[in-house]
Order: sequence, then C-alpha cells, then structure tokens
Amino acid sequence: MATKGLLARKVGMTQVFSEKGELLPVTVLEAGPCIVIGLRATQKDGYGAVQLGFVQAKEKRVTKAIAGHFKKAGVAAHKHVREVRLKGEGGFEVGQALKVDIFKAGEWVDVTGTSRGKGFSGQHKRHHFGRGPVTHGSHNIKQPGSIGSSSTPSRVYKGMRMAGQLGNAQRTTRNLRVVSIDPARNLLLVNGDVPGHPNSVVVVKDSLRQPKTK
Amino acid sequence: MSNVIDLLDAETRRKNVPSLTPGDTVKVHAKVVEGNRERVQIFEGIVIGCRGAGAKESFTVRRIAHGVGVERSFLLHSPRIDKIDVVRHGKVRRAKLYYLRGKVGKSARIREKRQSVATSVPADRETPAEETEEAES
Repeated sequence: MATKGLLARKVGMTQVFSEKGELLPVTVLEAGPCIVIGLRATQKDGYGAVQLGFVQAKEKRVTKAIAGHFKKAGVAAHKHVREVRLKGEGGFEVGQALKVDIFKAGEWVDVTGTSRGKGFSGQHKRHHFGRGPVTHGSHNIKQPGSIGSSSTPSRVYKGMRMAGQLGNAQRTTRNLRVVSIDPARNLLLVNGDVPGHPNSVVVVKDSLRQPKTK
Repeated sequence: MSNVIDLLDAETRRKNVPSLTPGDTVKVHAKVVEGNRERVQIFEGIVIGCRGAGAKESFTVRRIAHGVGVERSFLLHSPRIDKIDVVRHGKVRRAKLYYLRGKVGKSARIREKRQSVATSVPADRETPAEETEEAES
C-alpha cells in the first residue's frame, strides 16, 4: 500500500528530453497543494488512510454537511476530497499542507483517475474483437460472432465479453516514473499516460509494487 | 491552463538552433557515446525534410557515404546535438526532397539559393514547420 499520496489535476501531455537525450512522452499533472483533512487509524477505523482536500473553494460553494466537516478539522473548504489508503498511519497531521515535493524525480508512482467515457461501445472497441468480412455480401461486419454453442450448454456463459459501457470508470495506471517535479508551479511530470481527460482529478500515490529492474 | 504545456514546450526547446529548410546543406555535430566516453561526430549532408513543431521538431539529413546513401534523422532541440552549422541554402521547390533518393552523382545536386547566403544564420528563428507540411500536400 502507498505511503504517501496527492491529489492532482491532469493538465495534458507533452514531450520532454531526458538526461540521455531521449524524447519522453510525459503527462503533466498539477499536483497539490493538498490539505490533510482527516486521518484514519487502523485501531480506530480498521484501516489506515489520510483524507486530502484539493483546490480551495468558497465556503458557500460546498454543501453544509461538507462545510461542517472542514470546520471540524479546522481547515478551509476544498473542492475535492479523497482518501488515500496508507500502509500504517503515515505520520501526517490534520491541517498539514502536502506539496508536490513529497515526490522526487526517478520515483515510481501509481495514478488513479476516471477514464474517458466512450459510451455504449461495441465489441471491437471495447474488447478488441476482430470484424467480419466487409465485402462478398457480408452482413456481420460489426457483429460479435459466436457467443456460445447451441444445445450444450444451451445458454451464454456469464462474463461473456459483449457490447456495453466503455470508459468513465476508475482506472489505475501503475508504475509510472516521475520525470521531474516543479515545486514552484506544483507540477509533476510522469512518463507515460494517465487515465482521464485534461482537467480531471487524479490521485497520485507511490507505487504499490516497485519495479525491480530499470 | 493548457498554456502550462506551451511553457514546458518552450523550456524544452533550445534557444540557439538555426532555422533549417529543406535543401540546406548542414553539418550536424552529434554527440556519440563510445563505451564510456563521449565524442562529437559530424554528419554533413542535405536536409531532405523537416517535420513536427515545438520541442519534437525533427529533420532528416541525407548524405552519400562511401557510395551508399545514408539518411539520419535528428531532433532539432535534442541535447545530443552539439551544434548545427548551415553550410549553404539550397534552391528547392518541395518540402520533402525524397526524389533525391533515386538520384546519384550530378543529378543529386541542389542549386544554391542566391539571395540569402548562410553567412549569418538567424539564431533563434523557428523553422516554419507547418508551412512546409502544407506545401507537401
């Protein structure tokens, strides 16, 4: 489990040069500053976590229930509130501001966000099925093909991959390398792509399983 | 706030790169790692195309080495490039000089552009990459 985490806004992607001179694809994240609203302890709550607030908001913009929650913690109201599960208690304090400098270049991180919604999509897009023949009078160009045999078992197995909602679901990209951080602008550059559209809120945590090689 | 991306792109770009156009004869001083030491290797040839914009802008240089055509692509803003000398500007009417691949000897030459000889190359001017791409189609 993670030992630290930060909420971030996905800015977009670009390319930067590494020290070796390779052009790296990077996702730019505006990470933090996040405020610690609450703590969860294993003994008290059954799990260890830190509750973070991101992007300060006017008090009238948040619901009264949430406003009361902020007031109890003694912190300003924030737009986004998430909990980050921690290994152990983490050693954070309520009211503490976490900045991007809790990460450093070269570290591995996991980024969790809501993937882009693709709506109700067919098998080709959703499960990478092949398509049928497009000529010779074919009418099964976008059909799924066989979804099971007839008399035995005479039903479609559960979990058969079919058309349905694609995207707009929580996804985690694991083991992204932090290319660089910019504490002045709260920027975190990670090598590779991150779920979600620009301006979406993602959670950055240090990697669950650190890659052994590289 | 996508101008953060633009700012990062501007920071990634190098300031003192020459503006290259297809047909230019250039000397690219590329850094080469041999074992654990680094040296600079000069690759001289004709720019047969530029592509991309911003930090990822690249160009392809073609030369004839020992009777064999060699093409090498460089990233214009790469830190692996020590410097780029523009030897002369060529007079060409195409954005991509792929026709040079089928030519050898005298026919593979490019006439020099008369009016602007490369005595002083504008240091920080951008190569009009989009213009060249439009001219291609």
